[in-house]
Amino acid sequence: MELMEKLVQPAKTLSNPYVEAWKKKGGKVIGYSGTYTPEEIIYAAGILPYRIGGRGATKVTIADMYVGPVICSYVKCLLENAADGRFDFLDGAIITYECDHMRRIFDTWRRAAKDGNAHLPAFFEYYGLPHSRGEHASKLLMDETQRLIKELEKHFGVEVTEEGLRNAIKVYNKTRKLLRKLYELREKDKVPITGTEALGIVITSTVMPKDDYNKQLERLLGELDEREGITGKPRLMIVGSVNDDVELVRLVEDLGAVVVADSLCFGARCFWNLVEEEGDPLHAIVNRYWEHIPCPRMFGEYSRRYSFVRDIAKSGKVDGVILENIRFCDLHGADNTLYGRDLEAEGIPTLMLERQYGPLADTGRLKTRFQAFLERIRR
Amino acid sequence: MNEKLIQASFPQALSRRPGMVSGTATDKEVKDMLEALIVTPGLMETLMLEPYLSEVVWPFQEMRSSYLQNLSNAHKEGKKIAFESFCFPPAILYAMDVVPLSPEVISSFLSLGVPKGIFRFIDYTTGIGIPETMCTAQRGGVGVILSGLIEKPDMVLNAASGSCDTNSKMFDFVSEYLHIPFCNIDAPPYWDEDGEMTKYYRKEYRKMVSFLEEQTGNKLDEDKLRQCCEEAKKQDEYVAEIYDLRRAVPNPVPAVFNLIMFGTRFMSSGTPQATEVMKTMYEVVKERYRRGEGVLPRERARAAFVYLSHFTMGGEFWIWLEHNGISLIMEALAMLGHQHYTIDTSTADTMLNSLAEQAHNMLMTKQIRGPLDYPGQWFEDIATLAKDLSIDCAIYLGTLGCKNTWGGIKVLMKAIEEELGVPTLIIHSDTWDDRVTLWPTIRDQIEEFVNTMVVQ
Repeated sequence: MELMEKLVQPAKTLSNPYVEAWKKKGGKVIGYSGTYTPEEIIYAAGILPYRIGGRGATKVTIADMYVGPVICSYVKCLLENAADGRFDFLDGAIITYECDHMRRIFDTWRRAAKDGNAHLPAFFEYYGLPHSRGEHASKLLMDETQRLIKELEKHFGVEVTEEGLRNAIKVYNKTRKLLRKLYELREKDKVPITGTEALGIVITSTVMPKDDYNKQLERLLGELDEREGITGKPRLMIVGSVNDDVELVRLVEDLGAVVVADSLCFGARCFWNLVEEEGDPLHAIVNRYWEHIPCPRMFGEYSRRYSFVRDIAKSGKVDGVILENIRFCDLHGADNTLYGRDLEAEGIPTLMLERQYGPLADTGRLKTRFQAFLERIRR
Repeated sequence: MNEKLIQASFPQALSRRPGMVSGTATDKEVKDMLEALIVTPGLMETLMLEPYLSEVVWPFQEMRSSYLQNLSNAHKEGKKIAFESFCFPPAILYAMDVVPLSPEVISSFLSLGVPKGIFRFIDYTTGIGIPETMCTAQRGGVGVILSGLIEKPDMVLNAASGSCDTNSKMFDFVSEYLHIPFCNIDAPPYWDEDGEMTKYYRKEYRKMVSFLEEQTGNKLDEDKLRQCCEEAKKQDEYVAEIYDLRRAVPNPVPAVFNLIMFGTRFMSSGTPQATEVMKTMYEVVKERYRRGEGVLPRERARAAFVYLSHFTMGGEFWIWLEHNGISLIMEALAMLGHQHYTIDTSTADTMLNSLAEQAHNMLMTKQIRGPLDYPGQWFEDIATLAKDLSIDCAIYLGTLGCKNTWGGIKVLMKAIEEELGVPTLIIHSDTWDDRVTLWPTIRDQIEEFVNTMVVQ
C-alpha cells in the first residue's frame, strides 16, 4: 500500500518530505516535547507544530557532557539529536515540563548551544505545568498558556485569533476522530493493520501538517476496509514510557504476535480526547490538555489511568499487556507495578519490561523476554 | 539504656500490632529496627565522642523519641498518621493532631544509625516491584513500613509535587498500594515572592487543610495553630541566627548541626521540643563564636554541598570533613529560605499563609522546581550564599534516584565555576546507600579535590 508507506515513513526519520516542503514555502516550524503542549495554538499562529524525539540517534556522547548518568535514554537521544544538528530546521522549540528528565532539556540544550555544541532555535520557551487539577490549577495553566501565546506572537510577528483557534480545534479534532477510527479497526477479530504500522501512523501525525495528514489518513482508512485482517496470533497491548521507535513494536510482531492496542504518549494517549468545540476556544483547548488521559506525571490519578488501560485492553480483546519503561523512568516504572498487580488480578497476563531507548542495543534480551511472554500466553 | 528507651517509646513494640501493614518480619527484626530508629547507635557514638556536640545530643534525642512515641501511640490514641515528605514542615499536622511519618526520616536514621541497616529495606521495595532506580531516601522508609515494622499510615500527603517526580511517585505508589487517601500539595512550576505562584501554593495548602479536616473529622483549632506557629517562628529565628554566624571565619557551626537542624524541622517543626533543639544549637554556636573558636583547628576549605551530604557510617562523614579542615558551610537541605517569609500569628488566615510560605520556600521545593537560572532557583540561591558565606568550593552528592538534580547538575556546576570562580566536584554516589560508591572512595575523591583544586 503506497499510501500506508507515505504515512509510516516520516515516523522513521526526523526531517521528512512534508516538513521540507513546508520550509521551502517559507513556513516556520516549532518543535514541542510532549502531549501536554497545546499544539492548536502553534497551528493557529500559522506555524507547523512538530514533536521532537530521540529517533535516529546512535550515540549520546554530547548529551553525556550535559546530563548525569541516571537520565532517561530517550531524553539523552533527543539532546544528542539537537547536538548533531538534526533539529536545525526548527525555528522554535517549546520544552514542556512533563517530567524531571524532559524539563532539564530546557537547561541542557541552552548550555550545549552556549558551548557551541548545538544550535538553539531563536524562539526557545519553557512551558510550566502544575500537577494538581482544580480551579486554581486551571487558572495557572491558562495564564501560562496566554504568556506562551504572547511570546509566540511577539517573536514571529503573528496573531493567534479566536477564529484561528476555532479552526485549529476543528482540524485537530478531525485528526483525533480519524485516529480513533483507526484504533477501532485494531479491535476487530481480523486486525487490518499491524502495531508497527499503527505506531508509525500516529508518530507521523505529530510531524506533518494536519490538513494534509487528515486527507491521507481518511483515504487510508478506506483502503484498510479492503485489507485482509490478521488472525490467529496473540493480541498484545503496549503500555508505558515514551516510544517513537517503530522497531520496538516490529520486534514483538516478528515473533508472531500482533499489537492491537496501546496506552502510550506516541499512541492513544496523544489523541484520545477531543477539544470541546463550543464556548471559549482557548479555555476549551487548555481544558482538553489538562483533562486528557493523564500521564503518570499527574499524581493521585492512577485510577483514571488504570481505567483507561483496562478498558482499552478489554475492547482490544488482548491476550497480554507489555508494561515497558525506559530505565530511570520511575513515573512509568512505578505505575507499571500497579498495572501488573491489577491487570493480573483481572486475568490479563502482563510482562514487566525495563529497557533502554535507542537503536535496540539490547535486542537479544528483549527478544528472549518477548518469546517467554508469548509462550506463557500460548500455553 | 537501649532497652529502656525502646520500652518507653514503644510499649507494645515487641510484637507486631494490628495497625501495621502485614508482613513477614520476625519479632527480632521488629525489635532491631526500633532500636536502630530510637538509639541510632552509630550516630550517637559519633556525636558523643565530639565534646562540642554533646550539649545538643540530649534535646535532639528527646525530640526524636517524642516523634517516634507519637507514631507508636497514634492509633491507640485515635490519631491519624500522615505519610508525608521530608521537604514539608509538619507544624500544621501537629496543630491538627495528625501524626507525621516521613519515610526520609526513617531512612536517614536507619542508614546513619546502623551499618548496612537500610540495605535490606531498600531491597525489600525492589522485591515488590518498586523500580530500583527510585530514590533511596524514600525506599528505605517505605521498605520499613511495607514490611510491617512500624505503624501503617492512614493517608498520604505528597509535598514533593513540582520539585521531584521520583519522590512524588513514591507517595502516589504508597497511596495506591495501601489503598489509603491521597492529597497532592503542588509547588507551581516557577517560584516567586508573594506573586501568582505563591497565591497558587496558598490555595494548595488550604486544600490540604480541608483534606486533613475531612480525614480526621476535626476542624482546625486556631489556638492550637497559634501555639504551633509561635514555636515555628522561634525556630526560624534561631535558624536565621545560626545562619548569620556561619559567615565567621573560622566557621563556628559544626557540620552535623545541619543534619540536626533540618532533621528537627522535618520531624517536629512547630513543637516545643524542636525549639529546644534549635535554641541549644544556637547557644553552642554563639558561645563558640564569642570565644573566637571555629569547629576546625584550621579551615582549609569552606565547602558548599549544593544538594546533600552523606548519611551513612554513623555520621562519620561530617567528623571526617572537620578533622581534615573542610568546613561544611552550606548543605542545600539546610538552605531553609527563611529570608522569604515571616510567620504572622495575627489570624488563622495569616498563620495559614505563613505556614504555606514556609513550605513553599523549603529546600528542594523552592530551588529545583524551575529552570536552573530562573529567579530564586538553584543557581541564584547558590550564588547568593556562596558570596555571603565566602564559599571556596562546591560539591555535589546526591542519590541515583534524583533525576531532577542529575538532569541539571553538570550545567549548574559549569555556571558555578564560570560565574563564581568556585571549583566544583560531582561525585557519583548515593547518600543513603554505600553500595553504590563505597565511603572510602567518596572520602578519597573529596580529599584529592580539596588538595588539588581548593588549597593553593
